[in-house]
Amino acid sequence: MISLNKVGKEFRRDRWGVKDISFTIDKGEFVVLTGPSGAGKTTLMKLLSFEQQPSTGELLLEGRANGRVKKRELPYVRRRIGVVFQDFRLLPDRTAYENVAFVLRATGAGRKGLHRRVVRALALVGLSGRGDAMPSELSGGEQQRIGLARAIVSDPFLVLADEPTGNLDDDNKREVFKILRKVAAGGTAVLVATHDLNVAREFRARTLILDKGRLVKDAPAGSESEAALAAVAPHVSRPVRTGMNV
Amino acid sequence: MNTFLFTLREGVLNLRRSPMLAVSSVAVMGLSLFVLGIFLLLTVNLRAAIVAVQSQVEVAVFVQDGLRDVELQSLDRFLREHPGVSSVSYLTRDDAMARFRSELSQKEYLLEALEANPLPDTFEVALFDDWKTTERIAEFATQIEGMAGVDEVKWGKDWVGRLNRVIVILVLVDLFLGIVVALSSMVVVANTVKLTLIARREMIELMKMVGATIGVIRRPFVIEGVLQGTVAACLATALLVTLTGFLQDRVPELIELSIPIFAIFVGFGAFLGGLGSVVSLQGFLRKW
Ligand SMILES: Nc1ncnc2c1ncn2[C@@H]1O[C@H](COP(=O)(O)OP(=O)(O)OP(=O)(O)O)[C@@H](O)[C@H]1O
Ligand SMILES: [Mg+2]
Repeated sequence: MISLNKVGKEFRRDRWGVKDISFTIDKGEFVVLTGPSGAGKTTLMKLLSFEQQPSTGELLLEGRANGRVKKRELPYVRRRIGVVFQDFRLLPDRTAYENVAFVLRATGAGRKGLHRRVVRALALVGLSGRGDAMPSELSGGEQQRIGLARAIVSDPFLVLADEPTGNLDDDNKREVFKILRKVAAGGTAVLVATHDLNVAREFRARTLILDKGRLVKDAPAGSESEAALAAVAPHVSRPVRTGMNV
Repeated sequence: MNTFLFTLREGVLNLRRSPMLAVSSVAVMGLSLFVLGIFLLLTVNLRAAIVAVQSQVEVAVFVQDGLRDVELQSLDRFLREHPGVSSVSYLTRDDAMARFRSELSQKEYLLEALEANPLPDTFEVALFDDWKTTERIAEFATQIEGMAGVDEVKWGKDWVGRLNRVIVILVLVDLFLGIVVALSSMVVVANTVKLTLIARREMIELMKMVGATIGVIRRPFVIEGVLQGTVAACLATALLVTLTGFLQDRVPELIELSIPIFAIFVGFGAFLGGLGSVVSLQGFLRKW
């Protein structure tokens, strides 16, 4: 489904965001991506979302190679990827329901079934009753859950979440992870970049660890890798960093 | 087509989100179009006036001195039978002099210095309307001038030509103004759209991320521009109609701009608005 073979991104001469990254992610896998600040997590996410192109190696998504997709085909690739943002990025001028429906409307998904799909996505994030609320009327955790609903409403095959819990407290972090795991259980590949290893560990997900742009560890799901993680990347487990406050 | 309603709604929302911006841009565009409209009005009316004056043009055929009656009659017949001629009247030199005197009225003494009547016998020829273009009159005049017994043919060559030049200049001024208005309107709309673009940056990024095509991303802004242009042109039209009505109370002969012209006018406004949007989007969307 998703395969990377020696993928590298060189920003300037000899300045690599990531280098020599190889791994695959299957349908329905729930994967945590972690590593210290500046390790290349965001860079990797942007490669996976086709926002940037790799400088070296090959990145395949559903058989389509990043770098070889024509510009006008990019929108159709992106429709297969759901993205969750650290700062939620809900449109403030419309309700939660309309924020979710926005994806379908903007991609011309057709009005048939739109309501059903939005309702289902809202139900999956546990906010069935809050569709009429404006983003400003929702808590940070709720806003992010709307963000999650928006990411999955178009039934993507891959969901990318770059620090989706960076602005949330522990309970909300857990909630977000739970939802993402539920999404994965439904057959969607989910990749979450996070600093919150403590929370991530509770979910015993497969964990990719980046350091200085390199993939230094690929710990399979359920593995007893806590000691290994601490040894490889002790700085990862530091307390929640202060992000943007919403 | 699935996205059409979506983009239409977003375009209208864009206007509603920044009403002051929309209002000022519509106002500036409307006023520019209004100025253009005034010149169009002026042109239409001056043209009509010129055509009216031109329609009064007559050709005076001066006959050589001492022409025999047969020659005079054949000339008269030729003129009457000419397909462009609507009427012919013959004026002897004495008639001409009498008329000249009466036209001078008080200033008859000016003629006292004259020893003899200097005026020739004259045919005054009126032409049909479709013969009153500069080219056709000139052609007619040359033809008559070449005939036996004709001394000289006179018609308002100078002023007909001059009036034609005035029309050409007016049309050029209209064109020039049209271009100036077009450019200024486009700049105004492009600026407004640029400001909304900056305000809507988040939404654009989001649309891109969720896989909206460039066309769909662009369309709300183009619709916004088209709406601005249309409203501005309608505003200008309303102002023009009011102005025309006001002037017609004073000058009843004033011709108003026709409905097709207004339709073109509104279309022009809509087109400019859309174009302004496209221009300002071009730079913005190229980055991706
Ligand atoms: N557009 C860019 N141009 C140049 N260098 C960049 C660019 N984007 C990222 N980098 C560099 O690439 C490296 C990886 O950055 P990246 O944002 O991927 O790290 P990260 O793991 O997401 O960090 P954080 O945990 O702080 O979000 C950093 O050294 C960064 O300075
Ligand atoms: Mg990052």
